[in-house]
Amino acid sequence: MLSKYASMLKRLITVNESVLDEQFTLLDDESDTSYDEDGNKRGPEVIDFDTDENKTQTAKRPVSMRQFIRRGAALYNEAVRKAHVGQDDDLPVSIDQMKARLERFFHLPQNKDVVIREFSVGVHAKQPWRGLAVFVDGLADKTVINHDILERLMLFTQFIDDEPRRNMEYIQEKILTSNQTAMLEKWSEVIQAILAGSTVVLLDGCNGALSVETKGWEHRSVSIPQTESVVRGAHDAFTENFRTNTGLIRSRFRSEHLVTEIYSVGNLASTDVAIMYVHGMTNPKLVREVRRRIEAIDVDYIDSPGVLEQFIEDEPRMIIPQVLSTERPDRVAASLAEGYVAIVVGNNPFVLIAPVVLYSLIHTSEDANLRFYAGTFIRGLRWISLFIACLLPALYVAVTNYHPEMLPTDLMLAIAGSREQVPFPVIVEVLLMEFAIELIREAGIRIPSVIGPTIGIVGALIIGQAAVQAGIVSPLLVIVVATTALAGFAIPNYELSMAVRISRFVFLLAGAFLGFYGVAILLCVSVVRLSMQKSFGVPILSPIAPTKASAKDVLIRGPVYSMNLRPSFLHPLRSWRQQPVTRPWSAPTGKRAGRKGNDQA
Amino acid sequence: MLRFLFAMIIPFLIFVYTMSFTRWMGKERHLAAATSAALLGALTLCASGATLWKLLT
Amino acid sequence: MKNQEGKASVAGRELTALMILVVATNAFLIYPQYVSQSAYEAAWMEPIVSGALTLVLFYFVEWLMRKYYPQLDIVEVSKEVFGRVIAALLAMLFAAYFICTTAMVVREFTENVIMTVLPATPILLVGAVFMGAVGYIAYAGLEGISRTAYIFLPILLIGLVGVCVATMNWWHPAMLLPFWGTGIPRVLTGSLEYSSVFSNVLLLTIIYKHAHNPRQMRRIGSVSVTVSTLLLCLLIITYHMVFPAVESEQVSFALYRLARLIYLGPFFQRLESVFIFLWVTAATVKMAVTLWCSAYLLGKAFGWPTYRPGIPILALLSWSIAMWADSWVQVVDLDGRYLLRWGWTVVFVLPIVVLLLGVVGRAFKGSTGEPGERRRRRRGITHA
Repeated sequence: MLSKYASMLKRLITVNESVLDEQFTLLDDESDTSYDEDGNKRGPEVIDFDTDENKTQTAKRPVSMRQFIRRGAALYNEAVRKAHVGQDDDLPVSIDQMKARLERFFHLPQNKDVVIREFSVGVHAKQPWRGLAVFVDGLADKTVINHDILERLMLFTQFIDDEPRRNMEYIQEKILTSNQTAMLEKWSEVIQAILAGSTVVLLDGCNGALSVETKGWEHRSVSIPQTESVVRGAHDAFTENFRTNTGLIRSRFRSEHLVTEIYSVGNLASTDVAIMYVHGMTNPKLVREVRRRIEAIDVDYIDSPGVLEQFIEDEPRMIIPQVLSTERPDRVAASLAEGYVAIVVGNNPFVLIAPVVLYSLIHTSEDANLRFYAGTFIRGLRWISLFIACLLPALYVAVTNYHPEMLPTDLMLAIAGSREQVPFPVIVEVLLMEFAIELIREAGIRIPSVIGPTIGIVGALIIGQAAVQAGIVSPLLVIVVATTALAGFAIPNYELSMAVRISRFVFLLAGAFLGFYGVAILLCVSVVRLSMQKSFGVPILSPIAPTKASAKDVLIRGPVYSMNLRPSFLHPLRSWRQQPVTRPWSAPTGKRAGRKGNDQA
Repeated sequence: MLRFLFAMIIPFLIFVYTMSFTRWMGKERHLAAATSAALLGALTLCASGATLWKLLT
Repeated sequence: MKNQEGKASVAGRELTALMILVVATNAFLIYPQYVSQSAYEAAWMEPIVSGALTLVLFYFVEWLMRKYYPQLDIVEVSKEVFGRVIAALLAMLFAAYFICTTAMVVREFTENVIMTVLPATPILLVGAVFMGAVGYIAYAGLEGISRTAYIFLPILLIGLVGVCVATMNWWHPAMLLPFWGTGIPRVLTGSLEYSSVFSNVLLLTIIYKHAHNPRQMRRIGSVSVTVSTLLLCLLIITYHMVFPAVESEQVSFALYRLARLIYLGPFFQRLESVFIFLWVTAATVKMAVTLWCSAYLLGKAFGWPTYRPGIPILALLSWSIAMWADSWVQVVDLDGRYLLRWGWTVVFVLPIVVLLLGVVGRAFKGSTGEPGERRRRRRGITHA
């Protein structure tokens, strides 16, 4: 005991090397040069822009923007080139060279994910024919590898002929019972195949590699949508698997004209991006534009549609999204049928639909399933909620501050009475409450679900009872803020509701400073801004401004049997989507139908 | 006076913007255009200065 | 962006909305006061007469434009007729008219806003906010303005008709008698004098080549003139049924007075603040049009590669002119005495004279009317 205290005392008074602050600091690493190496040889000498000499120079002398961009582009291109050195080469013939190359590419033996299984073909061969099976542990399905590749090659194969290439083709045709095989010639293809979960079989003496489809990583199965629930309609949603997602779309939209183009985006780690459209119906110009924008992406890594979106949008600085993000296969299928283009990005449960008009951000896939009265009703409800979510707090502040006379006297007295105890100006009060609501909203998402119920209790207590009783806010304001929050939740599109959340505060400030006048001016300006905004060349407020002919599917939801035309702002190749008269046997509805198709909704 | 100077910031910024517009047009050999815009800019700066002077001092 | 103004093409409905908005906004301004002054009980006839006159002139000008100058606007026509210098002078005159209109409108609306809802806010600020918004909208170009006009038109229609209908309890149709007011001659002269509110004809000569489909122009003109005439007429009739004509000539803000009266039970009363939305949106669009026109004309006259960078400085100029007047009374007086009174010379006479001279000149020269040559010449001028 005593010695312990003594040692503590000693540590207090002794001075040794522990006083030197030697914490780890992350800096540039000059010692490890292994990343410079390519397949077999060292890469060519590269100009190092990071030397001290250059650094001091750039610090002293400002460079022009063009120069800066050129230098950045050169650096980036060099880095990309370095990361892929040797991958454009053809495969060598010798198995040892192949193995050495693979070890370089995948940084073996440090990298434990990539498995190189050495084997020899045939049990009783005169001389062993060596081979490699390469796959990534965790991505590939081991049962398939064991039974359909290794077992067949090692146990059930016997070659008398010595010509390796012909044997390889024989293996592909007759021996491996996998559903997808391909003969690869280049290292880059081999690497991509391995990283995509396939198993690559390399055999000695053959400068071709056999890729066998063995994808089998763990992912969530198809389940119900998390953010776009409906009462009436399909209950499946996309999941974290690229191929499952495209399959879900295709299973709903069973047309041989549905085309899925797959691109790979990302220089460091590639992500599959699929463009889906209906050939012969979707406007080819739109497809070309989507393709052009996706092909122009030159970055290291993109993992999600939310990021890709920002690279392909017309105006990413705009608060309103310009692509529609959905997790519902039925919505994507319906959009494809209308002439939109769907973009599936990697293993992500959200699919983008482009272009988008503001109105489709308010629609849900349920609208079409209900009778049109109900569809129109809930759609109208959402329109109202959009305006409430945007404007209600601002209008409250404006009315109480600047226009109290427009309230009925009783109501005004009630407000004044409820505000009697409140020490703050209205705007402070509103901002406090809005802040609290936003906090609850954000915390509600981030909170671990185990303690989830707490947030409800805490929130309700703070917002509802306690704040009023403490005299911090007036009871009427609680109603206003709660209604606003509810209205915000009624907006079906998450991105749009985010935009509304933010613009609410701008309107609030305008209302606080200039009353209705400020709100009206801001409204004008935002309408102009919106009316000038395009999404993939389509004005975001069309078909209303600019006016375009369209079916009654904009502000309201018309009867399905009379919505004959596809949205004309998409300029689809087939503008009619059904017969002008869709219910010929019905006297009252059959006649009306054709005429209604052209109406402006 | 201070209020006047403070209020003149915005007209002055607009004037600068117009002058850079003028310079751009001059560079593109639109001489008549550049002159007219410069005159307009100067006129407006004077007008706004006069108005603000009248109202704020 | 560089050729934005050349490419802008606007659909028929939007142009109609734009023109209705530009004309009908006068209902909020001093137009009702002045027509009341000139015709008393018969003031509601004046918009009808002016509207009919406008319609005739509109058809005439449209015919001239379609026949002789299908791809030109008024500046280009006058360049062809008089040469560059006079064309520039003419364009400056038009632009000055538009700038002054913008200035008057901004001042009048600013005063309205201050009078009705923001009595304690400094006028400079209110005007500056107005002008900033207007500049932003004008910067968006004709497409943006007309789309906005199309979106806001229903609000204007509902609001105006709403004001008129909601004051039904105060209507006294007998107040519209004597039927001819101050007498037919004065009604007719008043209609002529104050016909400048219908600036459709001048607008037509500027906007014509931006129409998506110029064939629709005739329809656009007739619909817009009719609707705006009806709106103005409706408002003035209502106004005179509610307030006696003698009294109404002294009040400069008719709509506000009407709106104040609205009482539909204790929950719908004193709705004048709600009409702020109406005034502000309509006024912003109107001013954006006039500001855009002035920038466009100046740009055309002096060969600016694009009119857009001229918008801020023109907005500032309008604002400075607007804030110069000492008082509301002075503004109303100036507007009434000069702009409203003599505006018809700029709005009707000048464009028609220019077009007619052009037609006559072309008839004399004969060969210069070749379309190919004309186009070539025009191109040379626009990029000069």
